[in-house]
Amino acid sequence: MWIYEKKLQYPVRVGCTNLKLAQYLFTQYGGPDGELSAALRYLNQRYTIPTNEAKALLTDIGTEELAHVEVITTMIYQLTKDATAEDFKRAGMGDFYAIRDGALFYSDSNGVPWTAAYIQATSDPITDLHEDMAAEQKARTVYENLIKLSDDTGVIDTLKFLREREVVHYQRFGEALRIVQEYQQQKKIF
Amino acid sequence: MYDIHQPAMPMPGTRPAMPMPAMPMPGMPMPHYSIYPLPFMPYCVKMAHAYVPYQCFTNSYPLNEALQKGTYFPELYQPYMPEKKLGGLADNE
Amino acid sequence: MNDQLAFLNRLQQVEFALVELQLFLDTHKDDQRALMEFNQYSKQLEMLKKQYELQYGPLLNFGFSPSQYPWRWLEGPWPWEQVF
Repeated sequence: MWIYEKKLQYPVRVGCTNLKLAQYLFTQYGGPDGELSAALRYLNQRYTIPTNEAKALLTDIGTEELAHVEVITTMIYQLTKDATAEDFKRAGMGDFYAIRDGALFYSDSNGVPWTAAYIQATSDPITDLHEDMAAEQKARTVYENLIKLSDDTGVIDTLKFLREREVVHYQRFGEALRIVQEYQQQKKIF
Repeated sequence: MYDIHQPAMPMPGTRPAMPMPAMPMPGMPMPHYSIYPLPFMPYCVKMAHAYVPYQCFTNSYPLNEALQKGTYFPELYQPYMPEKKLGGLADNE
Repeated sequence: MNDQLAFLNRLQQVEFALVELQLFLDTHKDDQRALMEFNQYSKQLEMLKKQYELQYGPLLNFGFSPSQYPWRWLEGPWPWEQVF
């Protein structure tokens, strides 16, 4: 059951309107290695993964990723909220505006809509945890790309926070993998 | 199937070891356990298996610094340093 | 407005330590020190929350926070509108 806290996990400070930057950030909203993919992947895998540690971890990290979705959307919203149709046209994003004005949507930075093909669940805990660890690395890389693309200090600051979270999540999934390896080892003995 | 015994890894901030399980192999270093059930790195490693070191809780950042950095634990803080890029090596090495 | 922002920041700091300790405890269930710190921060959060909510309204929905009259959950700014 989910409860919502009416507060961002991190204090997001956005400079001025920047439509191009907002477009880049979409990849971490509805893209393959974004926070939504992460949240849905972990929350779905937790049903069939063995060991209480892994179930707890997938639930908790999945929940934190939903909080990160909110951080990404906050940045996108604040980068676009004051933009006019003219601004969109000038930024070469008239096609984006035509479809939905400034509304957000689950798509990547190219407008490709989110798909469950971005995630997987195999019921094999080693496989699922390796996918989770790979996902965290991919997210980290994308954050590094976005940091290089951005010139807004507030946005860079938030991206660095989110990037470090991926590093920490990788460590936790790695520990869950160790626990599962130990668990499987013990199952063979008895 | 050959088990490779790891040499005892130096672990930061370890407490006195738990009672040793089983029998130590002759000539092999003693397994190095901390307060946790799982060691820093496994005693026996297998081919085609990946292992992530087990974190030992030693220090923590003050709260404002932890939030700003993105982690409560100094040993997990691995910031992005693009200037250090050296063809082939990871940016944050 | 500055008071509210400072308050929110304090909440963010304490909650962040709790998130980190939650994840840590998920894979280190026998770590007494981590659990002790978690419970200390949890108590701290409870006090901070009560103080914040008296002034600025409920932080959580579905009864995990009380509300004064009239229904304060509706009040802005919403998190994505918050300027820090």
